[in-house]
Amino acid sequence: MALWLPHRIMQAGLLVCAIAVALPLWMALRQPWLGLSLKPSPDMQSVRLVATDPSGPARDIATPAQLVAVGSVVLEPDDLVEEPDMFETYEQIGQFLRRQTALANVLREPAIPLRLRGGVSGDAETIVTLTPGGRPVSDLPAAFWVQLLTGAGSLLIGMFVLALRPADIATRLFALSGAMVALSALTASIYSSRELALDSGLVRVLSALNHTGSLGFGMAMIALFLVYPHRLVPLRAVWIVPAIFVPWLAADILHLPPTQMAGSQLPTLIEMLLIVAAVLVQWIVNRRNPRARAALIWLGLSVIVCAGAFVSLIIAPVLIQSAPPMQQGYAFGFFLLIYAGLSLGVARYRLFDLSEWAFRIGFYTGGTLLLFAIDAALILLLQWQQTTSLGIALLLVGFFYLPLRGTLWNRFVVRRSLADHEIFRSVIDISLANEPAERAARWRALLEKLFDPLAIEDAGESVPDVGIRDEGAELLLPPVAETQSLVVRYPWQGRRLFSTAHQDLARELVRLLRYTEQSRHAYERGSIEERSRIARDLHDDVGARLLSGLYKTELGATHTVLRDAIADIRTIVSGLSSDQPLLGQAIATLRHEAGDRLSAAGIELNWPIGAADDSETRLDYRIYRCFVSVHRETVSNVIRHAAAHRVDIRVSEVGGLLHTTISDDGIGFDLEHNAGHPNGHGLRGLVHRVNAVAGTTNIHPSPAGTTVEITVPLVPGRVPEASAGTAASPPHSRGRWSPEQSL
Amino acid sequence: MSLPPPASRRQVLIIEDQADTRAWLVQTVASTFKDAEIAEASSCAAAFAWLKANGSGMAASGNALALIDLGLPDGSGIDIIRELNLHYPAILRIVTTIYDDDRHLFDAIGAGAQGYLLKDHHPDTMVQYLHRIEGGEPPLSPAIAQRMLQHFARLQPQAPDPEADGALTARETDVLRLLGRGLQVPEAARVLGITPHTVAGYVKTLYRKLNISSRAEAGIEATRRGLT
Repeated sequence: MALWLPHRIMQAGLLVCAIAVALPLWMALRQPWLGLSLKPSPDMQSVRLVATDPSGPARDIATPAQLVAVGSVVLEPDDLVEEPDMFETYEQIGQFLRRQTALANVLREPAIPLRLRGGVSGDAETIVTLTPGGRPVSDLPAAFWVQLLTGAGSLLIGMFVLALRPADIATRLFALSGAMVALSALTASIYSSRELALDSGLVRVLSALNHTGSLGFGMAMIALFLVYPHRLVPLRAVWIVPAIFVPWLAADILHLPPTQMAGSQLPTLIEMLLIVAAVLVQWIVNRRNPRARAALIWLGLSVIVCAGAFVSLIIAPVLIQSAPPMQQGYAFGFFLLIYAGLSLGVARYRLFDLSEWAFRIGFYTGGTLLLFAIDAALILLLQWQQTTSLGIALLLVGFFYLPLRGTLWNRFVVRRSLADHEIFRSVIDISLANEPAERAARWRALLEKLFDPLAIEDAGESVPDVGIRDEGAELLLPPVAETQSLVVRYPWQGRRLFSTAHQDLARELVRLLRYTEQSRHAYERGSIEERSRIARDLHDDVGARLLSGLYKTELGATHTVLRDAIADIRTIVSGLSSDQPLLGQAIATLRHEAGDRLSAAGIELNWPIGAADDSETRLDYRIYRCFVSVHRETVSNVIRHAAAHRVDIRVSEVGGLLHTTISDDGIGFDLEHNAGHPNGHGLRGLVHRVNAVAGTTNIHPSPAGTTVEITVPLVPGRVPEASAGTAASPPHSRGRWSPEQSL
Repeated sequence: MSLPPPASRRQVLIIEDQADTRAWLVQTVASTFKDAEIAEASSCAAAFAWLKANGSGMAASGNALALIDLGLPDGSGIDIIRELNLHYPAILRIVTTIYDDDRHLFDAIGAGAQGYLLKDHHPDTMVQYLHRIEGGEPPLSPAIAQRMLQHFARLQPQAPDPEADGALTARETDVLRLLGRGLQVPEAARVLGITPHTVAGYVKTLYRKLNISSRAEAGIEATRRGLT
């Protein structure tokens, strides 16, 4: 299937087309040439020489004149006929062909005597002997070019549609019809543009091919409308069409039917009628399918109108034995209209279900063609302009054409790719986009940029891993970046295939994306956790405090509660704004705060600077909160209840544990009856808080003073091995109190 | 709002948007300085307007101070501090704030604040601090001290002459270091073997130097961006 890459088909099409154009051109130009313009006389009795080519061998002959004979062959008006199909019977064709051979033999001579009557010599016959030259391109008639253009155009457009949907029977038939028009037009272009005569063998072959092309076009079109838009008959039944017309064609080529009318024009007419009939049936069958009808109108009408115009202008007049109103060569142009109209139909009605990328491929092919055409034209131009204008031409080329050409070349031919850092940046951009839809869009955009494919579509299945399908025509991608599994078709506008290198790149991309997505999810989870933690802190600490303030009857007490609440908020905020506070900083802040508060209460603080002051350990937010509020609470207790004169505080960091000792020289309190003490709530909260981070609290109240020892792990909830040995008190007195426990 | 005051009377401008807080501040100031003439402003705009009309007179009194809230509805109190520092340096500039976070206060000191008060202080504490600031003993929290240390450490290499560039002397650095550890002024004084008054003097100098070096830095930044 990989052979069916759109650009490969288009390249093959271009090649075939170039040969198909070059061949008739070469054949037309290699014929001996005299430079004569001949026309039948008005009375259809003789041949008139109406003009001569000013640079041709016959330039000295005075015109108009009557050309009586070439060599020994006396000319007849029928010798000039454009298309041998115009003869009614095969006998007439046979005679025409024999005369063509005789004339062709004369023309092949090195010196050709022309017998002329009229001109300057009046009624007297004169004989002029000419040496034939090579026919210049400029001498070829316009009809020749119309036929050439029609042939090339219909062939290319047919290939274009085929390239897009190579496996579709409808596009194959359409492409076949285009090829048939090309065959018909290109062969006709050779003999219809002859100056006077070609060898009869050649004419016979060309004519046979011309008939094959015309009937073939009809057959392809009938078959097409049998299966498109709606499949009217089974595919096998379509073979009936060639089964009827191919034998008919063979008979015609062998000149078996009684008249040429029965052998050639009649089947053409019947085909035309069958096309019309098939289109009508399609029209009726598709009455409930507006899209099919739209496509049908476009394609069906253009075929009927254009082919119908050709049939009625060229074929029908022969049937009713009158002269066609226009030259057949020009009438071929109608066929080009069918194929040109089709491309518009693709755009508007998605004929053959071609999507918008159909145009891109057409556009690129057109661009490339244009490029070569301009190149060729310029080369010719430079050859011709060998005087001073050569300089101007070179200047124009240098200043305008080369830059333009570079742009066009980059646009159409050069493959774009991305540098590593751009890829990386794109991946980050995808992952960090806020909206899922935006992430999906950026992912597609990156694929577009990387591979420049003709299509990116939903794979319609779940793809587990990056893979290549269809021998490199398609790249499959697993779901990532909020996007379902994708299939990327025809990379680099169909000019190349996916290789394992691309597969590796895609795999790396998917891995990177997944990784960054995971990181983002982790980050989002983290921020959600953080939010809920703030909510919990605000609710449990600040909320509870404010609530207790609400119940205080004394204003001073309310103020104290409010100040504590503000201090809480400050701790929460500073714990959040500095990502993870250093232990040393936390100690400094607490020392300062305790010093302020104790000195205001007339209590001396002894908290010397120790090793922990220099600690660069980062405190987890929960530990920080616990550490700060436990300190604050204990100092509050001392100020309120201990009647102390002096407080000693030591903080140390040993083996992953943070030890705090706060002792005062106050009056102490009775642990057993603490539940009823106003201090109870504060102590209970303190113990609860320490327990929550898997820490331990030891409280030793005595009449000579109270010592509070608190040990918390530096990592919340994880007590290092060494902890058992570092507890200062015997195990039974280590108060791992739960809040429910009565104090 | 205010009459041209007799030169000796203390002039106080209170800039605070919360009406209750403002009333509380007015009350606290009134009880601290019995003879004070107090003016109020509730926004940056009001403060600037008041200063335009009365700023010179106030500064001339030689006995004026402004309490400036940082979070005002139409801007930052830091702008007012900067304005005062630039045009009415005689007015003592004190920040009253609810955030004691070092960043805001550090910026305010850089802009020329000469002390700060936390609005949740007990009125007695508030009065005490206000007196201290007036007496040239502004507070310095450990966080701000640490930030100052970092700030000046960054400046040190390119400042050979400490006085000229607002860089620190060794003694000043010692004071900062101890305050940064959370020591109170008397403790720091004891550790350094000097009087608390001297330590307080150093703190005042530190405020001034931070202002000078912030201005210098702003100037360098402006030059770098081609603004001057």
